[in-house]
Amino acid sequence: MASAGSGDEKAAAAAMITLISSDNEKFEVTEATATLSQTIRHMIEDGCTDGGVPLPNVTSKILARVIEYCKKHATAAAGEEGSSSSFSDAAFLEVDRAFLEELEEFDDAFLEVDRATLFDLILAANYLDIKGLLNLTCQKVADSVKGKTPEQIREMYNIVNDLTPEEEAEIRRETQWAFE
Amino acid sequence: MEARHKRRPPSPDAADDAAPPNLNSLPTDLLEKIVSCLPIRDAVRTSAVSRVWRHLWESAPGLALSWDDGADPAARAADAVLARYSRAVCIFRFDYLPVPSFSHADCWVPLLAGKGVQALQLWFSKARDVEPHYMSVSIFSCRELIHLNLAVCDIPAAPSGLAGFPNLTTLYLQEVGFPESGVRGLEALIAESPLLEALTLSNLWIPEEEDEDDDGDQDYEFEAWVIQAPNLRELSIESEYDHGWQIEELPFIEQVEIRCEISGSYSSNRDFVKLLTGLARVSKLELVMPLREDNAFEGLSCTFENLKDLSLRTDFCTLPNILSTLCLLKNAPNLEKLFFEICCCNLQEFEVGVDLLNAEWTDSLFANLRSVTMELATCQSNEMHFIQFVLSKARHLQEFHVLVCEGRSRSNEELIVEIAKYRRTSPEAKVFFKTMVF
Repeated sequence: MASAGSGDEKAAAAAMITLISSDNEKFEVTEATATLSQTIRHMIEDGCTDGGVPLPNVTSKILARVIEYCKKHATAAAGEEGSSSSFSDAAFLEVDRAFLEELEEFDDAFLEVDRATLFDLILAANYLDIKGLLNLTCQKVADSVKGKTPEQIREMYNIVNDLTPEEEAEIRRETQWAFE
Repeated sequence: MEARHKRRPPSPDAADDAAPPNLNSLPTDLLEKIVSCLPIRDAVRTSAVSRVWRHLWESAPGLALSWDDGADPAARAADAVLARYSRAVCIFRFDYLPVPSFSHADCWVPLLAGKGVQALQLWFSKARDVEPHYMSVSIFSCRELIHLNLAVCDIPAAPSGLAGFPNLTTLYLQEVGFPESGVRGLEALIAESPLLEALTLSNLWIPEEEDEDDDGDQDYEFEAWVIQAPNLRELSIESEYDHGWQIEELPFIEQVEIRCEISGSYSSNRDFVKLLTGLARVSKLELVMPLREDNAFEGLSCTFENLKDLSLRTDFCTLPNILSTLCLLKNAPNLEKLFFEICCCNLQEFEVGVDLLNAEWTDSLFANLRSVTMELATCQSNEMHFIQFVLSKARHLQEFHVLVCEGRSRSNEELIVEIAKYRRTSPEAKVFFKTMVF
């Protein structure tokens, strides 16, 4: 992968990237953390991260959460690439499993946010192209509507029903099996 | 507790802090993404939420089109979903399609081929007196398949040039027949799916050769055919008959299960040395031992360097069986876990004493063995000698589980006292003794 630095003085700091939120807060993160975002990865590859990466669509509050997620998952990714030769396979599997469990617990705790924050995280994950975070947050919303009726979903998410009664009846008739 | 009554916490960029979040504020592609995370019924039901949602599921990428309840309305639902879903199909799964609905599958498969299905699972219900369903030949037009999982159906002969699937990594066939193309069709299906990593062949229906031997007896011989899968990691074969399969070298093989209902159902001319040599790189192996007049593994020269976990279905009743077992164990120096399922109906024919076992001992035998389990143990003297032998030789043994079947001639107390007297070379070795209750 291409390095961010171009001059000698950059070499030491090459592994660090500065991210700038929409409200101008600066976050120093390692390249490994930042490149969980495909958007940032491409910027690094194109060598346009000098002076920091402005992220006008992400607030400092949300960016802090996103970085928290990326730090944790970047460690996990590094762990996966780590030397398996230092363990016997069985021991490595044990370590692996413990790590995955810990990661799952982290994700569960991470998702304990109000809906507005959850939506902001979805938008940020989409903009930054962080596949794992986008899947995780979308799944969280999906889980909340699972087993619910359309009325319940509307109420839960403040959605106005703009279907005419005829349209709604037609939908229910066409796909009756989904409503039984 | 729903969070909708909570007020949104202050956030510097949001002007409408007071309003509860409206899901419709997300762009359509993200709403599609959310819908694609739902089970199919829930996904379709969202079409009545509002106008934006009306057709979301139809274009939700990666939506799993999956039914497992098998009722006829579900088959009709699948018809409707396939007609309206506009994206490439990632997953289509229908478990236990009932007999009256078999014909639905004939419409699905060509549609799925057109929609580039990547993972297809179709299980037909098994019904007495009903011929297995003939799969539509369009199955071979599903060129994008990565996972194919079929149960209880017949596969037609493949059109020329379409015998396999270029991207297929998983192939699972259970109670599937090849009435037109026979083993050659199956052989070509595997060989022409060059990326195959996991293969399961479970109780296939293969037409046998109509050869009668000289005595006029029906001989269950199948023509030899070869599993050619250079990228195979996992292989599982379960069958009442030996369908004549052979393997070519499998350089990446990791896990293998070869289960026959009764070990006697292996073809009498199957070359086990050749078979095991082809599996030399395996790390986990489960095998039903063949019943032979002599050691079926005689001359086995390869070393199973990676083998950590071995399960054998065998018994200790005959010398050939015991020698075959030892032969395999001697060639597996890194084995950590050994499991025996004893064929407990068999009676010991020949006593194999500890002296004979000791004569077979080599430095590498049991060198890394940690755990042994003997399930359905009969505790006839050969098994007891084997337990004694392992305990006296396995330097790193931690546990030896003896799960005895009921109806033995000796009492538990008697057996426990005897095992307790056996010398244990590993200071950590513990023996667990339990009666299996059915």
